[in-house]
Amino acid sequence: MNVHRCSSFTRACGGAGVVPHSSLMFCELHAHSTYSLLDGVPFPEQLAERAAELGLTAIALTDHDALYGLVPFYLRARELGVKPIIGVEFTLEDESHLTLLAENDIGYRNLCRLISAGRMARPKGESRLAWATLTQHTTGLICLTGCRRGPVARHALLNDMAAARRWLVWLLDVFGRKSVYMELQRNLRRDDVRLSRRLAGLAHEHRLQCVATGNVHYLTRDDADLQDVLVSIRERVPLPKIVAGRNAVSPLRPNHEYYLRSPTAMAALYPDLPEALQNTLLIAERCKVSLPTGLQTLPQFPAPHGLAADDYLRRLCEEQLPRHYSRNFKEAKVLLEKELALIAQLGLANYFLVVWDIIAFCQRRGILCHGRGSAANSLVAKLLGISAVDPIAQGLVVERFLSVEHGGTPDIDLDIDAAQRESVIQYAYDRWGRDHAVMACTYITYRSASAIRDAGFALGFNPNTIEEIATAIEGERRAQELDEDGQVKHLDVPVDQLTTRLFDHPTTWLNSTEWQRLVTMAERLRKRPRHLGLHNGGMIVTGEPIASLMPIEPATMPNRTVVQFDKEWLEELGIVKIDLLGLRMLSAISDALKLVRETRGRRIDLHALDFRDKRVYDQICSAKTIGLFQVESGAQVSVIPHLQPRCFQDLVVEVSLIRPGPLQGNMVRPYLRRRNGQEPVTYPHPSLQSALEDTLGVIIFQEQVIKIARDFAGFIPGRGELLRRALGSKNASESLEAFHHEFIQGALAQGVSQPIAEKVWEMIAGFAGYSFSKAHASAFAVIVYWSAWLRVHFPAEYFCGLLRNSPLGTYPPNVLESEARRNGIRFLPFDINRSKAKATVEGGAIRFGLDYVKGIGAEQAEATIEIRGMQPFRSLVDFVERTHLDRRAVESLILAGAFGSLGERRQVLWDLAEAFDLARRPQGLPLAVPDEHAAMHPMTEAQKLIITFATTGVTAGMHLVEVRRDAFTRAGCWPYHQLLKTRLGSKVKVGGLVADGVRRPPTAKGTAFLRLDSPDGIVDVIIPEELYLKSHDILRSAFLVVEGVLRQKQPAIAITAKRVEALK
Amino acid sequence: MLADRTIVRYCKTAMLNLQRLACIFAPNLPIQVEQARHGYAAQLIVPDLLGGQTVFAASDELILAGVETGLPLHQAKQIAPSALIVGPDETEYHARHGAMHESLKAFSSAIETIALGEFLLDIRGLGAVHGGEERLAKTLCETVRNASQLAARVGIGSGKFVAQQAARQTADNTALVVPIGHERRFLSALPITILPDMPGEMYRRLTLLDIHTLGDLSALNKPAVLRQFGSEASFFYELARGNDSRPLQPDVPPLRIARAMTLSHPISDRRVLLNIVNHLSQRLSRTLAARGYHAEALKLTLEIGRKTPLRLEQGQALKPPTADEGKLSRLAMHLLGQLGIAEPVARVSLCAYPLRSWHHQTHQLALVKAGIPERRAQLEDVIQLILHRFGQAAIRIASLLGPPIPLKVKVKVNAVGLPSLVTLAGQARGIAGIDEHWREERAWWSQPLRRDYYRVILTDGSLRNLFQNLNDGDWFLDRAWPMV
Repeated sequence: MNVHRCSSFTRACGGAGVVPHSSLMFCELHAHSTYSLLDGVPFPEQLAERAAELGLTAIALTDHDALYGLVPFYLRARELGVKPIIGVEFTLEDESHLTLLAENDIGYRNLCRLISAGRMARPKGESRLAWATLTQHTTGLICLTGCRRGPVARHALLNDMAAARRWLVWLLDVFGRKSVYMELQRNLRRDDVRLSRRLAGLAHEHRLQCVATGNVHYLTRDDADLQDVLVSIRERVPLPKIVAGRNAVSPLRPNHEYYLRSPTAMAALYPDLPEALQNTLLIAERCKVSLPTGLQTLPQFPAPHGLAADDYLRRLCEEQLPRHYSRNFKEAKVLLEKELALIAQLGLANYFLVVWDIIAFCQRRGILCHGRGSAANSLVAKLLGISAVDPIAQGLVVERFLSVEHGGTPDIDLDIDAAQRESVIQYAYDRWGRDHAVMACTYITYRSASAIRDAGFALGFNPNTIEEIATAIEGERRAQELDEDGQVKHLDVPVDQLTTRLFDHPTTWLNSTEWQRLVTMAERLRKRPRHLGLHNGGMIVTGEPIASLMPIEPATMPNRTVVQFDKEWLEELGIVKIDLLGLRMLSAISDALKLVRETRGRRIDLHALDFRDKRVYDQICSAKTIGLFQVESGAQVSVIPHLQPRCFQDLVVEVSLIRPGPLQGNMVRPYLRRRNGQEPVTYPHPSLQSALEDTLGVIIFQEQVIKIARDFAGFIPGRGELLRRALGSKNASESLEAFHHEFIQGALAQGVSQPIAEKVWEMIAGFAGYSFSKAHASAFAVIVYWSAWLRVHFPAEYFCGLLRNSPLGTYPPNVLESEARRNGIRFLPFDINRSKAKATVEGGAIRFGLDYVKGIGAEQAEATIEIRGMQPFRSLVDFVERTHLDRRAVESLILAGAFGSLGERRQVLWDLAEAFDLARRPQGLPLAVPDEHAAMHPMTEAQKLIITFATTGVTAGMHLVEVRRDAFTRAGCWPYHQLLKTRLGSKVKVGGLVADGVRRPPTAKGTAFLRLDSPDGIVDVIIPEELYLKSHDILRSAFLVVEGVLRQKQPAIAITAKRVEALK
Repeated sequence: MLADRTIVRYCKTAMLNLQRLACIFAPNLPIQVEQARHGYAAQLIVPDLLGGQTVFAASDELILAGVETGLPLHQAKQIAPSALIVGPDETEYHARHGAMHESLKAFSSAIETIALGEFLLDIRGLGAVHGGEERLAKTLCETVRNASQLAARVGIGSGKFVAQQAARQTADNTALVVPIGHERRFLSALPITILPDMPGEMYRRLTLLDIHTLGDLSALNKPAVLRQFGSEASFFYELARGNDSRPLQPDVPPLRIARAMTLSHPISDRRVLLNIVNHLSQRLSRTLAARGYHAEALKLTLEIGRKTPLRLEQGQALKPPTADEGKLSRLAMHLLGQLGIAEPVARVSLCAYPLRSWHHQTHQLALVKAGIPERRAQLEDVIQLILHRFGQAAIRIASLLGPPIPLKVKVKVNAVGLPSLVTLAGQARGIAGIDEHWREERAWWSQPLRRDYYRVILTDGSLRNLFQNLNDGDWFLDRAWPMV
């Protein structure tokens, strides 16, 4: 018996035990973060922080087949003085694992290539690297032989030492003797010690060094439960069922020992192999990789006549300059020179040309395309057709877009007709090559509802119960998330807060251990990445192949590849991207223009509009804004009576005002009061007048912060931009602190007194939060005007365009339908022989398309219309025979009333069985015998309306409220016209259909808002917090009766609710 | 020849049409029993009989709240955290069910057990004996109530479906008779949801067609219904019209099976009695196996004295239920050991409680709940087919053998907490070294298991696996290895 081998164990796992002399001689070389996606708990930054706490001098991040977490890990580790080592745990084609670390920049590039190669041609989220591919990219890489699933260890575990030896020799051949280390792991798992001794013996035999690693999956033991939950979610098996017997293989780790250990704790685990710890430091010493920051090499734009990119850009701009600036040419020329110099200095000429090329493609194809965001500050962007906004006329500053100081990358966002976006993306892929063009990724992270769903699943809760809670949370969160403009803000509220709100009267259930465990687990899951998604439209183009710069992988969508870094981290790396964003409103506008052309034979050039049409502003001032871009929400409507927009500048203000920045900074009311002459326009200091003159002394736009910093505190423009960015950052208060002293000192140097300087600083600090740049607001205001103009002049076509592209904006299609009806537009019923695939205009009325019918996709609708093109459908049998649609789809069409010309809905539904029989029966066989028919009760009008709504989401007839008219009358609801005659402050009772759900924006301090839609109009309802909490469940009803006080009649009716009840 | 066949068919049809059945129904028997025992509790849950991890019965209030049979208990607790959970009293439920059954035998031997506390009784001709069906129903209700001490309902009708619905439509301790020819009218107002095992798709389409009641369905003509919903709709259509041709299946599994031996000369020698008990248990086991039952409990009865016999009884549950000869024999002998025998024994009786149909359902439910939800319906179909084709005896319960239970031992640890001495079979054994140490931590979400394992080398060179339960510090011997 070998007694010596068994005498030295301690309870090392707890850190207790003898501390050997080798303490602090270790760094962790195998650690997973939460970006191993459902196989790791800590965020990469936390790994670095914990490593620093434990006194590790270096730590490697080795996520599975990815570098998703690299950037935050690297930056945080460097910040803390811990050396970040870049590594990956690869999954090979035979499912072996191998840990590879980048020794130098070549190694980093090879890691990227290997990750990309492993993921190509595999299903999304899966990677299997071919051994043969591995052999081609080994330079600059250090190979650790891997965990238990490593090619060597897994054979050694089975005591097949011959096979283990063969694999080791193979690795030595491929990587070279100096770059291979035998990886040992001891996590108090059965056979760990036996295995590590076998491996150490094998290493000794081949004169190789060993390294000890922890295979870290969480920071401390306390997080082991979360790791189990993640694995359960990954495996799609609830924890109670995932448990395997003692000898069976379970995907769960057998104990809670896979945490990040201190050198002392590691030393206690390897008393017999101290050199395995020391070797980790040697490896860390060898690894010298710097994160590849800086601008990527952009593709060289093939300019004509061999012109350099800068020269070609200049030529393009100079050609356009006289056309746009015939009057103020000189001023424009100066600005252009300044911008071109800046672009040349930043080396961005190719970038502008690449974007210009995309714009040119859209123009050639007639695709509606519109630049948004800070690019509108640029004259070059205007001249290239990227933006429709005139930066000179709007007084925009280019530093908001480009500056040497902030060194960041410019971000050009293009809004593209959503229906055509894919063709633009594919153009970019084809134009620059698939090796040089890629989409940015986004990490789909857990939010409250999804966290509850997955945690509930993992913990074995009843799926129905969990779904119910998750749905309730989603509803609650949605109410929280919408800002005053009705735009979804990606805020998320902790699960426990949401559940406390959901269940107003805490039950013992909520206090039960199981429930508490679920809530805690869901809360811990929140914000962790679940899987990789595709960024809305961020496209990167590079000069050299992307796979050697950043790892890429295929996206779920065909013909798309995605880089493993998201928008934020690409920016950190200095990678410029172009956002090709799909905007459904542009699709709606595009469709409306097409319909006008088809039905009225008129071609409209929106770019030729002069933004001065009085009817457009009249319409907006009368709060008829449902269906308009950006100004349709209840919050926007509430501002209209006070703002009364009468020109384009007013629209720019209108879209900017209802944003968290101006709201939190208490800028909205002062602005409106000053505008209406209710308070004088004042400035805290005369030097602010130039910056704030246009907005009556209050801050509304981001650019104004830059101007204030420049004029008041003497900031150079780039520094002002940094201040502006700090205002919009997630941790605004912390970020701003860095500027406070500088700002005050700057102001004092300009001769401003300390109190005034502090006052202005408070004004700026109050502006923290999401706000618009004037350039962005101007770009949006253009679309607001276009949409309003179309609604005024071609309402049927415009609403038809909206309905074709619904859902878009704030309201569901039935509310748009209702608004169109109030505008005198008729709706025609679904008809199998008249409806087209999408909504159409027929003699001034709108007929919905078959794509609205549930169960009929856009493709099936198109196919059906194509079949009908040969000959109209003569009967139900004829339809079934020719379309081959499945039974459910035909049933939906019947229920939607599309077969109205062939008979009563229920009767046709009854005949459907026979129709399918006959359609399948060979020709010539007898039809059904008479006694197989049955007479069905015809549907009432109300039933028809409801079933149409249930099947299509619209009624294509009366308003839904009409069906319940009697019930509303019985409930004592006032007719809409009576409300208009009632004195303000009177007690009233109103009823209707909840238009867009209940919103409870964070800036409203608990107050909730909803809009009640009825055939005659919309009523805005303000619900005080107390009532909201009391009536939480009732507010989920579709039809509501609200008793309250009339607050406003013109242009829209608004009441403050005192009592809310669901319609009985 | 043809005429004969026609006559036979006619007679069969006539017999089926004329079948008059009474459904005797003690609603929610376990809850009734427990409510009587614990005082009325509106929220009461009885867990299943095996393991207690799922709901076996729940009070009406909880059923309305969504607590259904087969729901995992922890989920039921989530729905009703304040519910009173009482352990199932299998014997008592059996006893009440048995009492109902016994009392019904006085009326007819053709009894079919539908579920726990629910029976169908063939009452053809009984109406005349009891002065009409109304009086018969009342008598049945009263008899069953007196026998079981439970609230009961009685429904009489032609066919199973009508009788069962009549029992369900009436109130506790009342009866409802549906006269011949009135079946369709009786059923017409009832919702289609009561049709047993109607496919979801058929229900959905019926609703769309505005057919909500059995009356709506029965008003259609049959060929049209068959064309619309396929041939399987025929059964539901006929049920809706009150035509239920399913024959009564007189009880197959009796509530108990006993084997007894009367001794010509009373015996007090325990060894002889052991042999007799062993013999009886073997006979009982064979009977059970032949008929496909598992015993849930075993009761041994000894009669002492000849003229005024004194009965000594001892019983115990068998978990899990079994027909295994060895297990029955061991338990029977264990029961004998518990009885003090002062006088010679004149008669020995061994009684097994066989598996009941309702018990089958509990197991099946547990089985399907554990499976993949999508396959549940499929599995239930298969079970129904097997039941239909081969009878209830064909369904058996599988059980797996678990690992040996760890043996608690005393272990002395050294200064650093490592085992240094272990006491095995009363003998202290020194530990020469530790070959390996590992840790297992599992099931933190239910019953946390935290153990430190040590493969130790004893001073004699043999290996043992010991583990310390980290939750309470106790030591166990997990495995012994041969000498190294």
